This record gives sequence, structure tokens and C-alpha cells, in this order.
Amino acid sequence: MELFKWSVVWEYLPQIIKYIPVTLKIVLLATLIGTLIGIVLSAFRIYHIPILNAFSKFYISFIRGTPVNIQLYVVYFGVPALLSPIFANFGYDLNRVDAMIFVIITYSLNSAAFLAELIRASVLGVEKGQSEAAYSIGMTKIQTFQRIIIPQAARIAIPDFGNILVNLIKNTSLAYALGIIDIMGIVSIIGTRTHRTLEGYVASAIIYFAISTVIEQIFSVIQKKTAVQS
Amino acid sequence: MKKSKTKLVSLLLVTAIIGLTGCGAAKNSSASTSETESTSAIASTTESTTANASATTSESATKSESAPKKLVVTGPSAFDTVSYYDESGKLTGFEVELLRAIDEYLPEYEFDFQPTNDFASIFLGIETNKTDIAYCQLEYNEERAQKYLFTKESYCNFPLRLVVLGDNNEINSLEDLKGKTLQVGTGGNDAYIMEQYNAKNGNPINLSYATPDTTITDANLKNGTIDAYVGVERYVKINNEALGFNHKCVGDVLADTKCYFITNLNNTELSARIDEAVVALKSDGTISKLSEQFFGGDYTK
Repeated sequence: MELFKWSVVWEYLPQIIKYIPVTLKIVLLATLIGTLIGIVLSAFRIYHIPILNAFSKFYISFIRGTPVNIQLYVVYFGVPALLSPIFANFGYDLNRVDAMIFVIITYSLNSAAFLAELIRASVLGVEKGQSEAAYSIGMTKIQTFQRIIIPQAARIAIPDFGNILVNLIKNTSLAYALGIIDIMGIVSIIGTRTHRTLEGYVASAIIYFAISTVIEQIFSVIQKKTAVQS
Repeated sequence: MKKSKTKLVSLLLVTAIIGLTGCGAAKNSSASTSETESTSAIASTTESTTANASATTSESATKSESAPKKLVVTGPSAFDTVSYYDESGKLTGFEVELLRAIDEYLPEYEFDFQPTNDFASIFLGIETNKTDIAYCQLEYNEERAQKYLFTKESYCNFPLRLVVLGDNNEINSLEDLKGKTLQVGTGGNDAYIMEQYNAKNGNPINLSYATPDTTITDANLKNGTIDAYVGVERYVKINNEALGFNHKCVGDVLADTKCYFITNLNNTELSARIDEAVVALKSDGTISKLSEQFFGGDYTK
């Protein structure tokens, strides 16, 4: 038996493509929720809110310093083990919640840490003179933030936001360990049935690469469109 | 429904943050056995990952006595012949179909299959009460029996033997493996048995731990990374046919183990009921038939 056949890769591709939405669902929801949490975490740090600033600092370094698959297991097994007695009081059985929910929570919490640092760096990256100038023409703090800081910070954030997104897409490939049928999940399922795994990995690599390239291109277009004309 | 789902997610998120950063020693909280109270909101979230979930979600949380108790059943999602997805995306295999027959036999329960891709997760699920019944051709050993409740009636044998390349005539027994490398499965019973053997005999064999991916095992045998692995003859045959390997079993049976289902240690009633079903399905020939169908032989004795 040949170890590798390109024809099998082409057979894999259409079957994997069907599961791209599952991966994208995780990525989109995690980015959305992660951004919201990230904004809160970065606010703690930007405004040096006591205790919460320290919490935010610790949280970010904890998430950035631990592998995603460990985070998946902690959220999927550890959190319910600790909290199911509390949730039982509200009529929820935490142990019976769909694995997908835990996966989305994990990736949300994970991307929140990276996004928080990105948001913080972007906001602080706007020159101080900008807000001073805004105050001098009589803008309030909120007006300054909305009209001066956010537009400039957003522009600073765009390239790295794309990087975080691409990283997140690749990281979701670990969720299949919890039984999620996404790109990697379907590869393992087809691989078991057909006894041809290597082709599945190559096919999934093509898919991940294609998705990442599309996202990188989108962000490079956005970056060009929002660049300051000099 | 949608609202309660988002509420649940946000509630979980907040608590998960606390849980993650609180970093408390994750003790196995004494399991609250409140499966019956699972609300319809939770029941409806178990979607898509299981083949038969859709059929079971329509129940509401009414406490009518006739409604069967929903149990989560976890096993491997990619174990050929035992538990795998067929072309139509349906979970099937020897143990899956056996459990479906058991489910049918036990009117008070309703099984919801939630397979996983990670062997260790199967055990962890039982420990943390995420799952009620676990299967994966699980062999009994004393170390495992301290943490999990095994059913008493086996439904399948699992005679472990040494497996080498077909043209290897040097290795015929454990003695021949002195100073050589033997591959065992991470967390597997073969690893347990060989560790015991090594401990008793002054570590003569180098153990190499691996997740059993047969293609990699074959490559490792050929390139000399390992000299032998522990396997079961029926799977060796299946792999030889399906993948064109040339592997053979040699020597005596290392351990004539049998397969059982496991449940949480507290779940004695469920375990006993499964045993009753297995006895009945054995005597009416159902299990032998399934073994013939998936393994191509009767391996139930």
C-alpha cells in the first residue's frame, strides 16, 4: 500500500469543506465574546484600577503562558467539577452542557487575553498630544475617546487583530479532542473509516492555509484602506 | 430557549473566569446526581455531536415517572470496528451497537452518545460525572478498579500478545525482548501490565509510550524505533488487511483480559442493570452476532 496518494487528498477536501462552518462558528463567537472581555480587561489596565489591574495582569499572563489544550480540559472538566453543585441550585446540570459551549467559552477566554493586550497597546499607542489637543479645543473626555482615540487605536490594532484571528483558527484544531466535529474532527473520522490519515492531515493543512490566507488578505486590504495618506 | 442559552453561556463565562484564575485545587466534587433535573435548555444543547441526540431532545423536564432517565455514554469517536462514524455520519461499531441493544433492553434509561477523540478523557469523564457509561474495549485491572466501577459481565475478550513484523524471527517471547523497545499505549492496560512485568523483573524491557496510531506504529517497527508492540490478534488481522501491513502475533498470551463497561463508583445500580442486559443479550446470541458483524469472528467468549 502506498503511504501517500494525492487522489485521496482530493476525496477528502469536499468532505472537510462541509465542516468549515463549525470551525468558523467557534472562531467568530470566540472573537466576539473575547473582544468584549478583552475591552474590560484592557480598561482595568489602562486606568490602573486597583486590584482589578492586578487581576487582569495575572489573567493575561496565565492564559498566554498555558497551552490551549490544557485550557480546554480545565474548562471542560475542571470548571464543572468545581461549580456543578452551585449550578444545580439554579436547576442547571453543568455536567450535561454540550461540549461546544465549553469550547466556545475556552476560546473566548483565550482570545480575550491576547485581545486585551492588543487593545491596551493600541490605545496607549495613540500619542498623548492627540488627546491634549482635543481637550484644548473643548472636547470632553468621552468625546476625545470616541472621536480621537478610538479611530487611531483601531488603525494601530488592525494588523495584529488579523494575526490573533489566524492564530485562533489554527488553535481551534484542538477542540476535536472533546468530540467536536470540526475540520480536524472530520479528518479523524474519515481517517478511521478509510485507514488513510496522512492524506487527511494534508487536506486539512490546505484548508487551514486557505482560510488563513483569505483572512490575511482581508486584513491587508483593510489596513491599506485605513492607512493615513501622507 | 435562545435567551436561556445565552444566559447560561454568560453565567458560565463569568464563573469560568473565576474558576480559571482562582486556580483552586480541582477536587472531584462529590458528584451531585441530579441528571433527572436537567432542564430542557440543557437537553437541547446536546446537539450534532451525537448521532441519536436529535431523537432525544424533545423531552421536557416533566417529572413523569415513565420518562426514561437520560444517560451520557462516552467512548472513542475514531476506533475502527468498535466505535466509529460510517459514511452517512452515523456512529456505529461493535460496542456502539451493543450499547444500543442494552439501551433497548433497559426501558428506564435512554443513552445519549457523546464520543471523544481522547482516550484519557473517557476516564476523566467518568470521574467528573460528565459521562455515565464509558466504553473503549476497556480491560479490567486493579489500578483502574480503584477509581471506576467495572461491570461484572464481560462481553468481549481482549487477549494481549506481542506483535512484531512478519519477517522478524528473533522475538518469540518476553525474554527475547531484553534490552529492546516495546511500544505500549499511553494509559492503556498493556502499559500497566508491562510496567508490572518490568518492576518484577528488574526493568529488562524499554517501554515506549504512544497513542496507538497504527500507521505510525508500522513505520516505527520498520525503521527500528520499536521492536515490538502489544496488540490483539483480531486487530492485527484487520490492520494487515486494511492497511497492507505484515504484522504477526508471537509468543504466549501476555494477559487474557476481558472488556467491560465502566461507570462512576457510586453508580452501582446502573452497573448492575447493564450486567443484567449483557447476560440476556449474550444468551440470545445478540452479542455474538455483533462480534461476527464487526470483527469477523466471535470474540465474546
